[in-house]
Amino acid sequence: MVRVARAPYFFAMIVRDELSLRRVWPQVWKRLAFLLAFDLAVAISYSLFDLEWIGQPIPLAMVGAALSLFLAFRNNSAYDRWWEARTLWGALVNTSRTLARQALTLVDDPKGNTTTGAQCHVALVELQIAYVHALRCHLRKQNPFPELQTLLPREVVEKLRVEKNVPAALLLSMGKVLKKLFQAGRLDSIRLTQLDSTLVDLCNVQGGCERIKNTPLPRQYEVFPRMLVAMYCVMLPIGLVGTLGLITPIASTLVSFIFILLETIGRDLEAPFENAVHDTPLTSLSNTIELNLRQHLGEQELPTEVRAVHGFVY
Amino acid sequence: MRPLELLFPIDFTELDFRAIPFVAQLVDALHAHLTLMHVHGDGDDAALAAERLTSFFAEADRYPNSERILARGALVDRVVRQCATAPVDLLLLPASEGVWLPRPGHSSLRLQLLEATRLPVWTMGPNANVTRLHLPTKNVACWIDLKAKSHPQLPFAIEYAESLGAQLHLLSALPELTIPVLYDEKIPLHPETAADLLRAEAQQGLTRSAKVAVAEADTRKSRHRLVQQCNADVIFVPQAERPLFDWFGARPSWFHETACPVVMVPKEPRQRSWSLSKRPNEAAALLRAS
Repeated sequence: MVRVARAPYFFAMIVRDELSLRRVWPQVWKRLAFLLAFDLAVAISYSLFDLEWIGQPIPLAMVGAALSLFLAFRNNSAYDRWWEARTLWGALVNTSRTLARQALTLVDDPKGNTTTGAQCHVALVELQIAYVHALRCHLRKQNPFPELQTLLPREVVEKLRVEKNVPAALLLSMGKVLKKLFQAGRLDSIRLTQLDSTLVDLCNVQGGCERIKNTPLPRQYEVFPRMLVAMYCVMLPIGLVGTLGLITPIASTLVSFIFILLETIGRDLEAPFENAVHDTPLTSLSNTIELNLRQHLGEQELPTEVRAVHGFVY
Repeated sequence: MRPLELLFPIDFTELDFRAIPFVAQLVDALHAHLTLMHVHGDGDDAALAAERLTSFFAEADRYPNSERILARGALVDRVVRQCATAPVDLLLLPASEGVWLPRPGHSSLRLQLLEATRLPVWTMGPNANVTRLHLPTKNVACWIDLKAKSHPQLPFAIEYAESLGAQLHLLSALPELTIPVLYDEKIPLHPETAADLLRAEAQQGLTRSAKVAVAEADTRKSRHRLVQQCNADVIFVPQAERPLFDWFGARPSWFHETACPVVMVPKEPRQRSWSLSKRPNEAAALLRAS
């Protein structure tokens, strides 16, 4: 038995070049099994029991082409959401680094011998680390406090417990730190404006993520593709059995698999913050931010590397 | 109050990932100590397994009380050995993806671990409402079988509800009328009598009285309706019986289909309850002694 030590962080991969079928299979097998049974029934009835009225000339190519267009349109919309989520988190990585750099380079040292608030600029970077983790938990609907307990002082965490929107409360705390630095004369109004505009960028990233999270794809995009794919898959053996006979179940199930897979991919992508293996790799990205910021602070103990598990990085 | 000791044996399934919000919530609410354990096969690459283990639920490294354990060998043996050498209160075992096809002779891993460790097992079926897992527990349900002679799940449910300040709901259903049931004077045959009996069972250890609901017929549908009506966040159930039908793996237990997670308590648990109010050393000694 090995107690696993925390490994040094190098770089995280988003996805590996492998996709195990066992991740897809649980979502599609029930429908495929039903369709295979139906296809078999149609093929056997037509070929062995001479029920020729079962085979009907259905314009499968035309219907299939129309359905493909519809699915492609819906999958594009879903992919746009997924990609926007990833872009927003990319922006969060950059903005966090900018904020840390500004806090560590633009804030003057305390004047005279006073030590009060000497570490305010460091606290700002630590609040930013906490903010990133809190935003991840907020989007994934996960309790952030076990993590925040080790990142922030106990009394700050207790105050945050009453907040409905913990990352927004942390942004406010950062704003208050800036105010304190300005009042202490360690920031002039130009640098204050610069730092505040970085906080505005963070707020915009959070707003974008919340928009994706709280506004699902219109329900028509959920219901109709599923219904139309089901109808098409049922029509397939009826249209094919006249030409393919007993081979119909193989061809029909294969084509059905493609359409069902397309429909499933769209559903997976449309919700990028759902705490599933298919969503945006928030844990990895927030660890990247923490690593960068802690290195800016000159710390030696760095977070654990987040690597892909079975081809997925979480 | 001592922390609840959680052991989460992981195999990186999708439901393992989906259970994370519940684990985070439990760690926060009960200051639980979390151990993530991965057991890999003899032929597997240990370095790769270690890498996967450190990457799973990476945020747990920031939790005040958490550790990761990598072991090689048979899963059940290693988990049993871990439970024997370290204090463990609750095993976290989300269900695997069901194939819904008959699996003759298949024995559920959760049931094997339940019997081997005699510890309560937290589990979550594929129908669990994962969007509610992060919410604080407000309603704890406990299923009572009126025909059973003892209810080992009840003390755990009471303690869990009390620790979290949640409302306890006792749920049951009148048994089917058979000759042994009719001749057993202890089995109530009226909903009111059954409700009184359940209230009496749960009197000890509760600061606020339990709510009781008894269905008139013991069917899957009525059980699910009761769970739904009390808005349960978690339900405590006794160890599942395995009738012949289940041996063929044709149908999962009723609680496997509920929308809330389930804590399954063995027939003869190692301890009558978790004793969370006791001091850590005292409670650990009790657990080791048992």
